[in-house]
Amino acid sequence: MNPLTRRMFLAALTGAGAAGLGGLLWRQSVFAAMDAGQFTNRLRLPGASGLYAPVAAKDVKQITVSELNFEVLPKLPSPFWAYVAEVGGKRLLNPTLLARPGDQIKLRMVNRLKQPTIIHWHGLTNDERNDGFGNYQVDRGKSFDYAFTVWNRAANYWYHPHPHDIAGEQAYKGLAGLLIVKDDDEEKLDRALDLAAGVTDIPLVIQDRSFNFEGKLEYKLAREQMFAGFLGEEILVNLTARPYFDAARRIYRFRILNGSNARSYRLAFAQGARLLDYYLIGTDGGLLEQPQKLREAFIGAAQRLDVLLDLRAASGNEPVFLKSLAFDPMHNESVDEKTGTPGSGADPHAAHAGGGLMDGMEMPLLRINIKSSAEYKRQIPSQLSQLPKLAAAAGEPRRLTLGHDRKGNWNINGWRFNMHETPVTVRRGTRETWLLQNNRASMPHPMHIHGFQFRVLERRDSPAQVKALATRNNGLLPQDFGLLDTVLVWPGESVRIALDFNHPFSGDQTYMFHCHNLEHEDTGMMIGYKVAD
Amino acid sequence: MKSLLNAAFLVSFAVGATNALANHHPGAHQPDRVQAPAAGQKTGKGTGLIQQIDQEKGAVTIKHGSLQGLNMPGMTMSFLVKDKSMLANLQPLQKVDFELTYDGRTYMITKIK
Repeated sequence: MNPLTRRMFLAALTGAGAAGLGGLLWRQSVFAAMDAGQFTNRLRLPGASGLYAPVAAKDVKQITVSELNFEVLPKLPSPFWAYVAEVGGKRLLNPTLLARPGDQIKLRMVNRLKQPTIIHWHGLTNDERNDGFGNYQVDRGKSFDYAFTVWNRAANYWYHPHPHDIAGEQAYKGLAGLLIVKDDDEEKLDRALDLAAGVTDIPLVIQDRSFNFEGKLEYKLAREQMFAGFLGEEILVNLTARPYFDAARRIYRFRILNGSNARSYRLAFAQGARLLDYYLIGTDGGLLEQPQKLREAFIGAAQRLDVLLDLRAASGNEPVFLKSLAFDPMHNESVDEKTGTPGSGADPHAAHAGGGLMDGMEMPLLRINIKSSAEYKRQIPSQLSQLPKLAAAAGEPRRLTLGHDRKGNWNINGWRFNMHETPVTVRRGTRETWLLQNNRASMPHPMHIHGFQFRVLERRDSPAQVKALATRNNGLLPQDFGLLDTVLVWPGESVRIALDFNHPFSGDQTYMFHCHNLEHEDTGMMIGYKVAD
Repeated sequence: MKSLLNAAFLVSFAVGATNALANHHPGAHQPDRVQAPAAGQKTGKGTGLIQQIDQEKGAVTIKHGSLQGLNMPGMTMSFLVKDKSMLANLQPLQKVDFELTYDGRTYMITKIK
């Protein structure tokens, strides 16, 4: 592991207009020191009202996409955009929507922004109209009615904006919420571990943001900076900067969403220099069959990791940190495609302003204080759920290559998004294998498919830092054993995924397949694909 | 644009290095060094967001707007404070107004709230 590559240095150097290398150096020192005293803000948790308040999705009749002021930093109101719902006389911001499989959701989205928007229900199987993407965006002052059934199994889904070209800005300014679907398996786990929502079963939405000198959210990117994606100067968890959380010595469930525009994390729980074991119990599409013991896992933008942390394994009362371990962010955009050696031309990433908090840098995210508590004797169940059988298609896979045109434009098979074109058509009710091949001259891409979930069959040519975490089963990572809607594909890596295009809809249905680095999505690394009879 | 960014970087780096040296200079942040502005000493003021507090060094890192009186654009810098007790009630990511002096070598915060 090279802690400070030339590219990272160049990225930091050119980001100096925002923060300066002095800023970079102090960040390195503060984060290396894991100074507990810098984490002084209580983690925001879903409450009875306000931010992230839980509410039954079927009770929500209207979501108003609003511009308002919100104290992201304590006592410093900042312009902020939120999904606002009024339910039972309470005003909810980005509410945590709760549902069960089979629930009917009917609600109206009202756009009070000064630009078009549309809500995408990330991970859910919907017809194209209710899926929500740019072709259905509505202008300011207009509304859009959703009516759909929750067809999917229990899992941590989420909802966010998906207009053409400006999804990154809208998500960055605050628009994102969770949609948690629960079922009998979930309730069995709650009982086994004595979990309570918002107390010991906690969503953690990780997002990086930048603030100006007055503490207001700031999203400024030059066109060339869109090439790498937005990297913020502060990491927020549940919109809390430098957060802490007081915990008992027991098992906690953390439903982790990487809601960042572009940044990936290598998640671990650390007490001092010691990494604690934790257990992966679910992914984008819900519970795994068995818990997977881990010490670290990568999470790309839009992905979810559902984990259990047993704080009885922590020693003494030294705080535990959720942190992102250092990793090579692999901004290999200018390497030679055939040999993988560094190119001699201009380094596209050098134009990227990292704002001082470099991609791949070690950083603490959340301080967990361990408090004295009553004895807790529960054990993690060995069986969690049953996944649908993995049925891979026979024959050659459909190849989708991720790359760029050396002019600053990312693409898929050379295609860039055109709302009037669907370069891929699949037959309803059939199975396909897709081979996602990321070029060597590339960067990691979190690839997201609308309309369907998938299973990962194989990873090949993974970089060493990914291979080190792989199982002996076809190079798969532990999270690859779950149902996914987003997969992080590293430079040079090939990932085979299995899709089953069976759904309860008729007629032609168009969906999106795209990179969930939102700046990549906004600049065209997206294609429409059609499901037809 | 890039040259401007690099210039800002060089200024920031140079200032950071200067302050880092000052931190290691015996008596560098003794209050009596800054009680009366010396000949040629400049004063300025600004607003910013605290990034980090170093109690031990008696320094605070601030992302600030342009500094009036010092002809300095907005950036993130580490400053010594006149007295470490000035740091007692400060928090990371707090917005502050501050005044400072510059003697050609060291920036020193004299008031912060």
